[in-house]
Amino acid sequence: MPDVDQSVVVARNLTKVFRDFWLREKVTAVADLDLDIRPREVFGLLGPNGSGKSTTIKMILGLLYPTRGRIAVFGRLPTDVRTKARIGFLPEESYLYPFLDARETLDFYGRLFRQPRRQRRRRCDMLLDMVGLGSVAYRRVGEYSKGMQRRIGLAQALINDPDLLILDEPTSGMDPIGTRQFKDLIRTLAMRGKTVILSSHLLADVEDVCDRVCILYGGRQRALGRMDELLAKDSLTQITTDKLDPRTLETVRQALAQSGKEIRQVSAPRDKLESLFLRIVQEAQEQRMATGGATSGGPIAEFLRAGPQDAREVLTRLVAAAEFEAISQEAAAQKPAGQAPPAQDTRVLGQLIQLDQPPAEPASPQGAETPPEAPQVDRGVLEGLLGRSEGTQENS
Amino acid sequence: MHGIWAIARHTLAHCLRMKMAGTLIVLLLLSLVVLPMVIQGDGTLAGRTRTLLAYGAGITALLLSVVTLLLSAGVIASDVRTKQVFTVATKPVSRWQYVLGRWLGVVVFDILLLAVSTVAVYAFAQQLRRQEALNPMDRRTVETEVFVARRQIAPKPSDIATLFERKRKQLQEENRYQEALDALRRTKTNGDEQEAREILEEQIRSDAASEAQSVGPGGHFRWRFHGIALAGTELRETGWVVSTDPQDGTLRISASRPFLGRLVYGGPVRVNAVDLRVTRLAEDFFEVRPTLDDRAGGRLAALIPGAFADIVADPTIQISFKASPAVAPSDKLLRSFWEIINPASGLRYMEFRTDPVETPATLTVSARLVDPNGQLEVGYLNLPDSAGRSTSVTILDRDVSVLYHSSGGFEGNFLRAMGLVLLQLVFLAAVGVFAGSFLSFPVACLIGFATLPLSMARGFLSDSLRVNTHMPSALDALTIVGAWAYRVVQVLLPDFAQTSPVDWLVGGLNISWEHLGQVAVLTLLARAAPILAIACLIFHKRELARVQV
Repeated sequence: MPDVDQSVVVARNLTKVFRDFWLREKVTAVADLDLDIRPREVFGLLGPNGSGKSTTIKMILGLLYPTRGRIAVFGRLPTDVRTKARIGFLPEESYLYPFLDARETLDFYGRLFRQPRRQRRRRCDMLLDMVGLGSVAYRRVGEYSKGMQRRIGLAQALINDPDLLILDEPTSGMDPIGTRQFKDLIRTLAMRGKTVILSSHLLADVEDVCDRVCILYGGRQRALGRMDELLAKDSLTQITTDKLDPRTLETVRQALAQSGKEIRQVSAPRDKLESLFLRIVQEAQEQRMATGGATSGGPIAEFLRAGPQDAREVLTRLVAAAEFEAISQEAAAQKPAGQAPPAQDTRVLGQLIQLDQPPAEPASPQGAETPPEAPQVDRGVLEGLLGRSEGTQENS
Repeated sequence: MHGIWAIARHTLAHCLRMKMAGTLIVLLLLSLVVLPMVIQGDGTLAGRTRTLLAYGAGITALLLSVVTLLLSAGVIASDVRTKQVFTVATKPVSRWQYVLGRWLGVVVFDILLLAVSTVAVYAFAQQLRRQEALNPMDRRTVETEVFVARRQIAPKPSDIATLFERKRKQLQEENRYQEALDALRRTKTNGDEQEAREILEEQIRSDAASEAQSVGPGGHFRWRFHGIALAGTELRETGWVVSTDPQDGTLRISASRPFLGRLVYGGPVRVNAVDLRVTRLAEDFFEVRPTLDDRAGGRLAALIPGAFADIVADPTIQISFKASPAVAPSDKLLRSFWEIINPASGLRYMEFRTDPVETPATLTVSARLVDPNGQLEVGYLNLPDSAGRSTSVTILDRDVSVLYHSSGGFEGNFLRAMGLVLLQLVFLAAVGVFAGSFLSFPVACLIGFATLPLSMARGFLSDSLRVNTHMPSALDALTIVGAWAYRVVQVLLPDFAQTSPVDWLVGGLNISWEHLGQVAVLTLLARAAPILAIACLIFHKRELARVQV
């Protein structure tokens, strides 16, 4: 069992039962859920509607209390003020105060974190630029479109530079630019050693950013593990080459046939719609076309980026990463036989080592023309786990 | 405290940006502009000013109470309904800080609105004060009974207990006590002797109280007042005689404006050490009308036109009373003779008066009649009416009092009056926040709006629901249950009628800091604080999200 002190969120036998007025048991929203969400990981909570994702998140946040079992965040109760000081939360809808403008909204939440005025002002400016609302900062939030409200909602979740960021359906209502920036942001935060819990129906988003996922159905955990473990097809090999003419292709087929293998699929790779969209918007922006809505977001706020770090800090992070690896291995060794040990998470170490290098260029739609290589995975596996047929429209 | 204040600031911003605040201020100002024009009262300036003050304070209290209940019931309930509480409750703010912050925000909003209405009512009242009075008496009333802050002292209560004992003994000696007891036992109490005794003694006590506070034709009252703590000193000046009237002896004496500002029409003034009353008051002179005895060879004999006069304006006290005759005279006027005595020096002042029946009247006399120990003796003689008919007159202990000016003026008193309104609002905000902490907005409003009339009518309900053990037994149970239920309400709710500033302002009565403090302790510490504590506890235990599956 993983060391509880090392986990950001620990849940044991977490159960939430919904009762009616007469206290009769009506629905079990979450049943006997065990969770260990580790530092510096992007953790995805997946599941169809009513599977208990939001209920779990609300118990992590202290908005709901478990009927049975226990939950600790940073080793304390979720309702503890010290715990809440380290959390950023973006709810499934941006429940903001419509009478405040964007700047006042961020200022209010900054006050709740006891941030000094200058810090609040600086962070408000940076966050507003980051989410592309700097030009409409003095418009009341009630007048914003849903996507703009999501952006300001995201900004409020980041005002305290949280150690744990909890995102419930974060990209719903966001345009592809915002979605792209958002994913870049999650990667940046993960690189800085932040923990992110992400609940989403948009499997592509989860697939792009999550290190581990937990799939819930009927309030129970159905699958839990690293993304590459869950999605890998060990029996197949995929090769990407320059375009092959039919003759060369036939030669390859014959060569494979001699080894007793056959080509199962030959296709020309397609560009992602996301990339196409971003390219078109970038062209429009270069032509300086007017827009009444949010502009493209600016660079990720400075306080959220990995800034120049001194050697001692890098060393500390590396040591912490090494300790975590050791704990992970120890935990894996303690797992009962029959359960596959998790693959060593070299990505965390790799990310930390990157911190030693000069900070990456701020993410921007312009810079996002060529998206980072997403793992070439078969989404059918994920869909299958969710109980959906391949090709089903994801729009819940 | 930081978290509370951050939430309070947010609540204040919310309240200020609602259209409710603007609407309320417009309504308030409209009422204050329209009311003095519509309501003329008795036509006097004093009456109109009193009406403005009463309605101004009353409307302010009522409108702000309604707004406070709506806002306080909504601030938490709507936050939970719209789920906006999710983003606040997940920030490092305790639930109790959130509840107190919401309450404090509403209270600060109340303070702002109350400040606006206080300035408005005060400005309109001062505007009215500058208008022309109906007559000198009217002006005197405005200046000495409205724009003042007078302390009120009640007389030493009548000795009803001794009179009760005497009457009971007399009935027992005449064997009428037992007869009455038997009759009551047979007819009203189903043989219960104890209950019959209680009814009889209550009746005797009531008779004794009536007797002690009534006088027959030619009879007299004598009241003693203690604890009169006068403030202010006499003002001396040397004036000069402008003219004398050979017909009635009226003296017209010129004096400086500050000195004349201290005199009131009909009030006392000393000229060459003779106590006189002002019969006319102008901008640069006043007139007095000495008796012929005063003039003839006395200290006033030398006062001829051009002569200097030693004049002294003493602080004054007022004796307020309301007399009710057993049979009202045909002209509705009661005649009486008053004697006010300084118990230490023996200095006395006497006056024959004619006053309207059952109407509060005021007698203004020199404060020199109060002895150094703050005591005063007042005598009243019941005289026959103009037709020579005599009747009994009742003056209840609570209807006679000494009023005197103390330190502090109308402005300070007006602020304290608004302080009483604020305490009422603070309590209502606590009730609204409490209800909103676990109920939906409509239900929380219902609780709040049930609280308001109950608090306003608490005194009345208290009397109405007093357990009447003399009722037939079938109704006893119901009455007792109702009374007990009300006792609970009584503990929870303050009595707004008792703490309302309207009567104080209309009577020009001083609201002492002690009184304000007492109301603050009873309202804030004894009621609002426990209610808020319960609200914090409930909200702490409450799940802010609903289970959605």
